Formats: sequence, structure tokens, C-alpha cells
Amino acid sequence: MTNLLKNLATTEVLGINRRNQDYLRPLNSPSAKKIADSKLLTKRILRRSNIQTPELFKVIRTEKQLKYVDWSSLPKSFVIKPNQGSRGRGILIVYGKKKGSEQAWIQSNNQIVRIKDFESHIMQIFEGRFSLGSRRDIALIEERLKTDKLLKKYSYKGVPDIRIIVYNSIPLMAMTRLPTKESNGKANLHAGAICVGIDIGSGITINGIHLKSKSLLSDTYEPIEMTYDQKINLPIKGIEIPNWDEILEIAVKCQRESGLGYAGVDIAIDRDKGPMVFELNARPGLGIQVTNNAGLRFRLERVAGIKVKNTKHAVRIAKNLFGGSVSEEIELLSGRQIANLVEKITLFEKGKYKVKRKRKKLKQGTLLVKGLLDTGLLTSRIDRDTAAKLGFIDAIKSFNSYEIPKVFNSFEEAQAYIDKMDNTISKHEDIVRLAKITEEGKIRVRPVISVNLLIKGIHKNIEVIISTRKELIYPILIGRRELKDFLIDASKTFTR
Amino acid sequence: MILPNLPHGIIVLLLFLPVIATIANFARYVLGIRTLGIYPALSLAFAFLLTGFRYGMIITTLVFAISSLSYSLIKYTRMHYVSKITVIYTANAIFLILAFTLFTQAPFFSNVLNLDFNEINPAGVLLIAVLIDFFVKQTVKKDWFTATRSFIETIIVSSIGFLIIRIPRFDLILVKYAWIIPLLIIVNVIIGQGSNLKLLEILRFKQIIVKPNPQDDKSS
Repeated sequence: MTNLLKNLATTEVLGINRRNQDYLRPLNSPSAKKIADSKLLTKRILRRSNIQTPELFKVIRTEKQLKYVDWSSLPKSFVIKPNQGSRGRGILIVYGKKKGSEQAWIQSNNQIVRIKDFESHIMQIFEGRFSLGSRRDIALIEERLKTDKLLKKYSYKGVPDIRIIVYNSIPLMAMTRLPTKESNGKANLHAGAICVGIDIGSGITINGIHLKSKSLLSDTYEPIEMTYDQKINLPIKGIEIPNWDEILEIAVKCQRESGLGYAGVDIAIDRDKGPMVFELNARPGLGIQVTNNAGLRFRLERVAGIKVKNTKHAVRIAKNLFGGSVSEEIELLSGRQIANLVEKITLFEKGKYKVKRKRKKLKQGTLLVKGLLDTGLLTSRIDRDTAAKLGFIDAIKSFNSYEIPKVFNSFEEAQAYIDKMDNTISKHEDIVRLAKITEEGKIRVRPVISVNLLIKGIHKNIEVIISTRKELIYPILIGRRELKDFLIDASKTFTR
Repeated sequence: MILPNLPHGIIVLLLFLPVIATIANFARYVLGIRTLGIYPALSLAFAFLLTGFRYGMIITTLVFAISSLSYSLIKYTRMHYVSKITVIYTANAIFLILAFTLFTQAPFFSNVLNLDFNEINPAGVLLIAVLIDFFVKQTVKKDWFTATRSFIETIIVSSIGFLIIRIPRFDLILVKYAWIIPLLIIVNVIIGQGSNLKLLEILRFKQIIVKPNPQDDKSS
């Protein structure tokens, strides 16, 4: 309780009041809301920008049009939905025709539906039974999406959807909703679907939650590790959402095209056509914070004012700022840190190892460089000029003063030379030993020095071979010997 | 201070109106109690005023039970939405008449529970009956549980409103210090501009508030 009160003042959680006051009212104009609230308008706007939406078969606006619908002209499977429906209400999914019948179809709960049932359902749509504010509505008949093969294993009948919150053209948070038997194939948390947070950086699912109980005070959610009413239940953590980057880009485009300043974009992955937007939400819910175990307020404030150059830039910002939940979990389990292929490394000048860690600015006597974490090398290497800058110029001069053969014919020959000269050359205080290496395809002998550095917040004193290789892109290459504390993520090339 | 010839009753009722509305506003935006809306909360509070709390609660419970039951019976019947509402209104009228008959004729109710429905103002019953529309609409829009929750929240807010306006001499105090009413505008403006977490949201997001996300501590 004390913790709760203490954290309340600095909470990163976004509540309804703040969402409405600071984001929805000022940023979502009535015209943008009108687009988001109408599936038909959304389709038109998004198609102009070549964003895929489910194919529209028919629009039924009046009772008269309903009378003349040629049901036999529709494909075997389709979906009837209200144009302004919300929370998945009023959606009738038709899976196919009943065998041997032209006038009977099968719906999601295996019940038979006939034309009169369609007509009755559409009449209810007209009356606004499922629409926002119970307004009179129109009915849409569109294609039924087929669930992606990977996600099909985790969902019961319906298509799982992916909700992405986008603000200032930057995706902030994402989750997927997996339909269950309890939810009768609906991707709705309150109906019993499972909600799983997605790490923005990797598109891998993290925390799963499920509605535990509805109480008079507030709904309670419970963490869930696996699907619970599938034929084969599988863990829901660690699912890699297909086409993740494309999905994030689509979400950004949708926000821009719709004119919504703060938007929830619902995307489903069709087995054949890939990601498809089926809904934009002008008032996205806040439950996504629970599934991601993170507050939206912090993220909203973090990206406010950032100027986004293009869609790819937006995705990169989002990944860099908000990705990493999965990495943190791996780090926790393995006890190692995840490092990028290229990391920022602080090199310390000779004899200036100690730094005041609290000081943010690097003190004099350090050199900030980009280093490659090269698992192909055993011992780390440093560029000669960089070594000189660090104060090892004397060691280099001392090494060069010996008449060392430039090339050796074999490692044995190089080792024999080292055995003979190591004690002499290593007399210099900075040269630790000699090492034989292959450089530019030739076997050479080089001096090894000891360098202090800081990588991913870890101070290390490592042995590095001074290299004279001309095309060394990075001034330092960190070898396997020093990488025991890290897991290398090859997909990352830029440091945060 | 009321000038001569001004209808005292109407003035008092009009003064009660912003008080109850402010309670409903506070409940919604500060506590997170949504209710079925501000009108149902006002309507029920005034209904309690007209019928008395005891009778008001009995009628409200009856209306809730009849509406829930009749809606669940006709839920899957193929008919228009407005027709469904009309059926529920009709069912309420029939069953309330039956209930009043039972309450007045059965000696248990009149003698043991000391109920006398002749005491109550008929307008109060009507004010409660209008809740049917809001309750059923909520049931259709969301679900029965959510609608029931909102209904109970409405009763709570209305009851608080009712208890406040029933404070002895509260009406006289309001009339004497009528300048309080414009102050309520300021209170409501402040509530309306608030962007803090509601009390119930604190419970909802407790796990995130207590345990800040370490990922978000990063800054680039």
C-alpha cells in the first residue's frame, strides 16, 4: 500500500481522464473520428494509400436494398458487420454453405443460418443495435480472413488481431488478442479472449493476461502462460509475430492517413494476403498497459515532439525507445547482457582506469569509439592509431625497433620466433606478450597490450593485439575471450 | 432568501439538481463510478425523495429484476430493438401492478413489514421506471454484468445524493446560502479538467503502479 501511494505521484500509467483530456480531445478531430468510426470510410481512405483491408462484397444501406440482395452471388464464406459497430458486436461470421443446400450457411457456433436470419440480423444493424451511440447504421458484407498458420495454433476459430497504439506517427505499444472457445472465437478480452503484450522491438509476445473475474469494483486480470481451451495448449510467451516490421509500418501509415493524432490500429494477418487493417479506433482502451506491464503515459511523453522523417524512421525510433522487453527477460534468465553487434565502447588512456561513475560526461583521458563484437576472433584487436592515442605509442615504437619478419610461412615458425623473442620484446612495460595472428591473409607476429575499457556498463581490463590492418573499419574488435558476459544480438547494428 | 410568490418547492428542487449532478460528476471522474449516466442518477435520487428510500429501493429492485428477466427471455427472439424495449416496459407495468397488489393485499407485507404503497408519490414510480431504457440499452451495448454494475453504481450515487439532500434543514441552508450553487460550477470545472487516475483505475493498474517497468527507466 505504501509502495502504491509512493509510486502514484510518479506513475507512468495513462488513465481515462488524461487520455481524453490530453490526447483524444485535442488530437482526434471530429472528422478523423468519423473516419475511424466508419469501417466503410476507413476502407476508402486506407485503400488510397495502398493499405490492405478485407475485400468488400456488398454495402446494404436500406430495407429496399436488403430485399434485392443476391445471396447466391456471395462467396461461400463471408462476414456481415455493422459499419459503425464497436467491440466486435454485431459481427456474423459465415464459414460456408451447408452441404447440399444453396440457401443455408454455417456460422461460427456451427448453427445453420438462412436468408431470413441474415435479413433479421441486418435489420438490427439498421436499427443501430450494435452501433456507437445506438445510431442508425448500414451493413457491410466483406471477406472472411483466414488465420495465419502460426497464429492458428493459438486461437480458437476466429482471427487473432493485433492492436497497436500509435501517437505522433510512432508505434508505442502493441498486443495481440487470441480468440478462445470461451470467447466463442471473438478476439475480445471481456468475452474471454487472451490478451498478450508484444515487445515493440522484436515482435515477440511477452505477458499474457486473461479476465479473471468481473467484480463490482473493477475487473481483475490474471497472468496466463498458456492457451487453455485449445486441442493442444501451447505457451503464449515467445510467439514471434510474422511480418512485424511491416505491421508497424502499416500502423504508422494508418495513423497518418486517418488524421487521428492518437490511434489504435487493429491489424489481422491473413494466411494468403498478409497483414490487413480491419479497424481503426479513435478511443483505444487502456488495458494494453496491463498486458505489456508498462505505462503508456511515459511512452507518450517520451515521443512528444519527435520529428519523424518517414515510416521506416518511425519504426526505428519505436524499436529503439520501447523495444527490449524480450531482451531483458533473456538477460534475466541467462544472467548475461544482450549486446549489439556494434557497441559503443569507452577506452581509457594508459594509467587512467578509474573514473567517477556518477559523472555522466566522460572525463578527459577517455576515448569513445564504436567497437565490433567479433565472435570470429579469440583475442581482441585494436587499431594501431587508436592504441597510440591511448598512450601506447612507446610500446609500438619499441616493438617496431626490433627487426621482426613481416610475414611468417607457418604458425609453427611464428611460434618459434615468439618463443625466442618474447622475453626480450616483452621487457617493455606496456607489452604483455607477443601473439601470432592472421592479418590480411598473412601470418604475422604482433604485440599484445593491456587496455581498460567500459562496455555496456561493465569495466574490463582486456588484452588486445595491436593491429596494423588498413581496412579495419572499427578501431577495436572485441574477441570471444571477452564476450563471455554477453549474448550477441546480430539483428541489432546500432547502439541506443 | 426567497422572494414572495416564488414557488419554494420548485426552487428547492432546482437547487438540489446541481448538488446531485456534482456528486455524479465527482463519482465518475474522481472515483471512477460510471453509473448509467447523469440523468438516471438524478432521476433515481429524486424518485427516492418522492417515494422515500425504503419504497424507492423496493421498486428499483423490482424494476431491475423484471427488466433482467424479461430481457433474458426475449433476448434471442427475432424482433426489432424498440419492440423489445416496449415489451420490457409492458412486462414491468404488469409485474409492478401484480407486485403492488400482492404487497397491499397480503397481510404479511402490510402487517409484518408495515408496507403501505398508498403513501408513495406515483411520479416517483415513473422516475424509477425510466431507468429500464438505460439499463436495457447498456445490456444490449455491453453485457448484463456491466449493465448491472452500472445500475448498482447508479443506485449508490443516487442514494448518496438522496442522503445529502435529506440532511435536516439542508434545503433551507441551500436557499439561505444560494451562492454555494455558482461555486459548484467552479468545482465541476476543476473536476472536468482533472487528468489524474481515478480511484478505481488505481486498483485496475495496481500491478504496474507498484512495480515500475524497468524497461521504461532507460533513456537514450
